[in-house]
Amino acid sequence: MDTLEIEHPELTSYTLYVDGNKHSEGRCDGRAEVMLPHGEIEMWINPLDKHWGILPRIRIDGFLVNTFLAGIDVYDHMLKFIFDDSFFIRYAEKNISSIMAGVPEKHRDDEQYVSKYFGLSGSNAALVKEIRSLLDAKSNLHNHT
Amino acid sequence: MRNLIFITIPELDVAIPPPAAGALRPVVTASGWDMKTVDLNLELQTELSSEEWQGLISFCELASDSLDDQLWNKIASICLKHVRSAVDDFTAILAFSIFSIYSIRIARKILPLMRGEFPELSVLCGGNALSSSIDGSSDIFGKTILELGWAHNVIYGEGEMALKAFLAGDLLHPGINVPNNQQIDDMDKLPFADYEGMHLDRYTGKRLLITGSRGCVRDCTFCDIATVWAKFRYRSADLLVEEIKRNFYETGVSRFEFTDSLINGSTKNFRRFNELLYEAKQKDPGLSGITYSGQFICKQSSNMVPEIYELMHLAGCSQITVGIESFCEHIRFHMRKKFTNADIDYHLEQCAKWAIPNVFLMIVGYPTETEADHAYTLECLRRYQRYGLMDVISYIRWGLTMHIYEDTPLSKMMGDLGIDAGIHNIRDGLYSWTSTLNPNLTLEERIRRRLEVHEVSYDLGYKMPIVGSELMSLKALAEGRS
Repeated sequence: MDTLEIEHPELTSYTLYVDGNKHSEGRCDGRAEVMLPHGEIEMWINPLDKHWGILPRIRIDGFLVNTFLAGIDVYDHMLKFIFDDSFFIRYAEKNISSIMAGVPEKHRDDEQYVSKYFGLSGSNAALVKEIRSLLDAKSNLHNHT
Repeated sequence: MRNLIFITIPELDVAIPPPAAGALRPVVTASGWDMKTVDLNLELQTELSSEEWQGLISFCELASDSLDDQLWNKIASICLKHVRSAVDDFTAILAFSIFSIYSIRIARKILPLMRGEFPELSVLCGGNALSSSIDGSSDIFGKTILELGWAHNVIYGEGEMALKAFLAGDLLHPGINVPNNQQIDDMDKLPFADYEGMHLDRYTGKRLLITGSRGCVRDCTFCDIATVWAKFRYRSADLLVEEIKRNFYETGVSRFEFTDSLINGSTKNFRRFNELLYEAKQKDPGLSGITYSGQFICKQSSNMVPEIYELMHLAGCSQITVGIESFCEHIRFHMRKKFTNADIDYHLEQCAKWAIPNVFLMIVGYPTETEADHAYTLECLRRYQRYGLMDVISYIRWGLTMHIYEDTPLSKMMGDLGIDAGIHNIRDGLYSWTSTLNPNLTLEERIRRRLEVHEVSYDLGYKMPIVGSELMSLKALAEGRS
């Protein structure tokens, strides 16, 4: 099972709710790591002296996540997000959307530019097929001679 | 004041200002000269169509053997236009930076063009490519340049000391016209890079280059870095941080890219650099947006302890480029990479923990790669998919299949590996070799494997830059050289 880790020096305790039901809770000294089931996740946090507004580092399955890309709503007292099989795919898709949003407008339709600087290249399936055909034709020629 | 026009030619990364220009400008100005930079690499990329640029790159990268006459005429016209506009009554020297073997072919065309156009000017050439040769030439390119009269002088090896001597009229300095260059031992004596007058806004990468080290701590079989820099030398961490701060304050550019073959060659100095940069950010919050990137070597976990990855995160490491080359441990050990599969796993775990994006550089079809190794590569792509989705393996680059350069350790192991260069000469950086010890690994098979890793990588969501360009070069290989 995947894990959720939160880390902040002022973190004192947490309560994890999954789909509205209390799943686990505990005290912690700056760091907590819990098993992360699928569902609607609410990780309630208590900072030292109710010093609200802290933003803990958040790791899911060991990955330090960007809360925006992870779809995590950050409240003073709680982190809220959906965790399921598609979480990592959604993260990647949102990352790509963010990358594209940052591409200068004049280059957005420039496949070479987007490929070169952002690695978003498409499958190039037709070109791959063409190269395979070339190789097959050479192979056939070689076999016949 | 006399001026020197510093000219860069393809192929270079067009996203960043040419590193040699920044490194050598302070040498030129400290010698009492003015320096203008003409980046023909950038001008050509800007003015040629995508298709024309691709044609030029395929030619430069040895993937196609000829340059269409019409295209060359256009290239010549663009080059002449920009150099003419830079030359004035005070110009005394045209200095060409010929960066790598991928610049040699186009240099052979541009240099005689410029000599003919500006017969009254002194022409000087420098760059790593001068110590290399391609296309069956038995001479290094610097010697060819002098013999054919394409330049009056050449500088071999590192330019800082030799250029200073050259501008002072000392043509007997090691490395000037004779390949007896000596590596600079004390890199702390080098001046800070200076990008004044370089129109930084034209470079889409919006980042500056910085040199932390030269040479490498490994001796990988496929790499010829040792012929350029025999020893690994590095600059002290505090100077690196000072240079970053100065360039940030002077230009406002906050992204820095190391030119090093590896930024963590000295783990101790690398750790210190990260500590100092992090401390500087704590002292001056104005520096908090500074990030750095560079090439990095995967090392044993006992060497790259977890605290260093944390410091990288805190200091602003935005990306590292890592020559993994192969997921197969036995291939990497043949390459002399000296890290295990467990080391890769550890490295990825640490990078995930601190959100450090990696660019993985890979080689398809190393001479000892079997069909089973290829299958294992595909398996690893699936195993590491989550790292790709989460941007820890931010990009993966598969290149153009294994090719063997002259002067690499591999070129000296060809007999042991049963490698036959076929109709091509080793000096071509040849792609079409075969091996009697691994007879199924023909160029066609390497291209097939290359296509397959592309497809699997794409399906798994890995981001891969310049795929279209690489596939076009593979097509040229499949058409013409297989």
